[in-house]
Amino acid sequence: MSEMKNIKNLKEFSTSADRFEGANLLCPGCAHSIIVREVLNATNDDLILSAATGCLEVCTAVYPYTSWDASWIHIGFENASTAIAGAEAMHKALKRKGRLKQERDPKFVAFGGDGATYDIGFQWLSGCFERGHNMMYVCLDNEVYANTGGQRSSSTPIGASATTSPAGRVSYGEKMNKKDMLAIMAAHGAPYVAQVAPNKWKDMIKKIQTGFAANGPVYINAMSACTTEWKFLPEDTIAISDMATDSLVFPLYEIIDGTKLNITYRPKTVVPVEEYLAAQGRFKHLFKDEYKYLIKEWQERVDAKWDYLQRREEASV
Amino acid sequence: MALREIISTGNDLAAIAAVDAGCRFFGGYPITPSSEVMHTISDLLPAVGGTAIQMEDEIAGVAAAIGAGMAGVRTMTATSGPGISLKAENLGLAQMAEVPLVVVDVMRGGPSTGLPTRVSQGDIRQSKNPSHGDYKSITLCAGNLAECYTEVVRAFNLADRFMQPVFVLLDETIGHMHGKAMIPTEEDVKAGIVPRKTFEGPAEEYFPYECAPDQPAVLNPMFKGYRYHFTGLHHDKKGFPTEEIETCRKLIQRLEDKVEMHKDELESYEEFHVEDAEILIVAYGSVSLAAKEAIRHLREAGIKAGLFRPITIWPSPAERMYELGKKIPKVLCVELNIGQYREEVQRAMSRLDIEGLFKVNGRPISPYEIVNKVKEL
Repeated sequence: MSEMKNIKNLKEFSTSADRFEGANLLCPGCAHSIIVREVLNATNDDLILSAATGCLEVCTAVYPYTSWDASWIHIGFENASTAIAGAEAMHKALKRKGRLKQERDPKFVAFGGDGATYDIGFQWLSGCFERGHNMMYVCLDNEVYANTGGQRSSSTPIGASATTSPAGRVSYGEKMNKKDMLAIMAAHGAPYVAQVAPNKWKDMIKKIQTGFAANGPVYINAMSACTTEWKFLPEDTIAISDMATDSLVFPLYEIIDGTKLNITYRPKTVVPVEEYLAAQGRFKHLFKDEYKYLIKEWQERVDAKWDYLQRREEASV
Repeated sequence: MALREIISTGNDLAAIAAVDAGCRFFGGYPITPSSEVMHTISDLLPAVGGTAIQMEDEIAGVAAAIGAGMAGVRTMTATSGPGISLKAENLGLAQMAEVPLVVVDVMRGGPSTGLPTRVSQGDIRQSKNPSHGDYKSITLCAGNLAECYTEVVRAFNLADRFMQPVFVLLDETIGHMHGKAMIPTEEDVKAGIVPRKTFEGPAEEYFPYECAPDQPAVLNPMFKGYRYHFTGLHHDKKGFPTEEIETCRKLIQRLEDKVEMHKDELESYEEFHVEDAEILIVAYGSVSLAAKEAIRHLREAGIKAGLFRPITIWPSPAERMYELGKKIPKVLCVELNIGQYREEVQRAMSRLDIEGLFKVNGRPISPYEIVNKVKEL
């Protein structure tokens, strides 16, 4: 059994007891803290958390302070998933032996950035999902290695300028398309996989709660707008996030048991991708004449993906 | 030799040196405090027709670099201690298969994640034996900005000469140090490039691992009509796996001897006021800068101190250290670890009374700490 929080509106949400404190060293306007808060706020159950090396880890546990009012593990860059899997397996074993007296099982949640998730921690995460641990893995996807100086990751989208895929005379920046982690994690047969965005907080909480109720490994890909590396003003985080979801660059959907896809948010007015790109410094060079074709290609990719998602939803696959 | 003046950082100089020395491939992964090497080389390599790839992790970073080395180009990876830990298995492969490769390690506090943004010299021992088994590492250590350039250039030539990975150790202080350096001109560096040996005869007579007992393998670049086999297993003259007793013994003995018997080609050190020294400070990397400053103050106070700074860390300049150890009464090792090189100094000097001034809290050692320590002795 588990106990979900019932939060009706934003005011209730903002005054709800918090297990992730606002006192942290994340950049002003960083979406990480909003997402983590929303995840932790979705349940009243005990939490056992892990964080991969990254912005979240270095900014929330600086001795002698911590932002976490819950059990929290940090090990390495690649193994947030396996650390929490180990804790979960231990819990299962203790329970089987009758050595735990709690009525409710704690929730096991691992956080990692896209570098930790899409790149270095990928095989570890895959192993956890194959073994079927009862855990949730939340990827804070800001499409860049923000903690080490803004290097590209395999989540960085085509055309973005990063320190190791710099835009300049000979290059328009990142040349590879973003890895489709949701499809990959769903292909493990996971009971629940979803993409969320902090600006759509109701949608997000619903998905987190569905994930907590699921039996088995759950993957949540959380879009996390990065004021420092995407290059926008700190006060615009939610506005940029709105553009991301409303332009369908980050479509919000879920995949159940790897076989049933539901779209959970349909923007009333779809914003052109160009507007989303124009709002961020990392895409600035795309607006030069020689690279404008890339913006057109962006739009075509987004349209094609949206079309694909809709066809899957319609066919209930 | 003409010199040029450049204002830069240690990490940037390492990247510039690599490109000047003919490096055309870089495989890496972000890690503090070495990421700037990758940033800069990602900028420089495309402009000269080279390739810089950011891989999905440290292991893939070195593996890609080794692949490029096998193909025949000059290749590099850059990382820090935790990255070397992950790369260790592949570094062993490069030792065994005799693939030339330069590994820049900008040292930070360890073990494990350690102190990512702070200085350390904790990878001295690691660079000697990153992987299991018998082989002989070559490790150079830059002690100032100019050497971030010159030692990387030298590393590329040594990698091709000895056909194995060559470490260049920087520490966080040197890597992020920003200032003026006098470095050789690009023309001089290019003129000094000694490429790896190749076999020119008929393909059927080519046996890459059939060489003198003190010489490295002769690996022709790929795609040139010569076929051979790469493996991490013990292998025969063609590179194919074998368990034949004598072949296995000879192979491993040769990996040792190709370095051990040519230490004179590798030896490199600096001596500062050692002629009349009554106390010898042994220091390397950024610490040697503080040691020199300390020696100036000590000499002003009438204390005859001198510095021995190994630039080639492995194999160590043991003979020279032995000579100095015999005539200088007091020896002090100053290191940003708990005496990793002191063990080597003790071995080389055949004496145990080597004093130590060590720091492992991520902070540099100041000249005054050294002065005070020397005055205590």
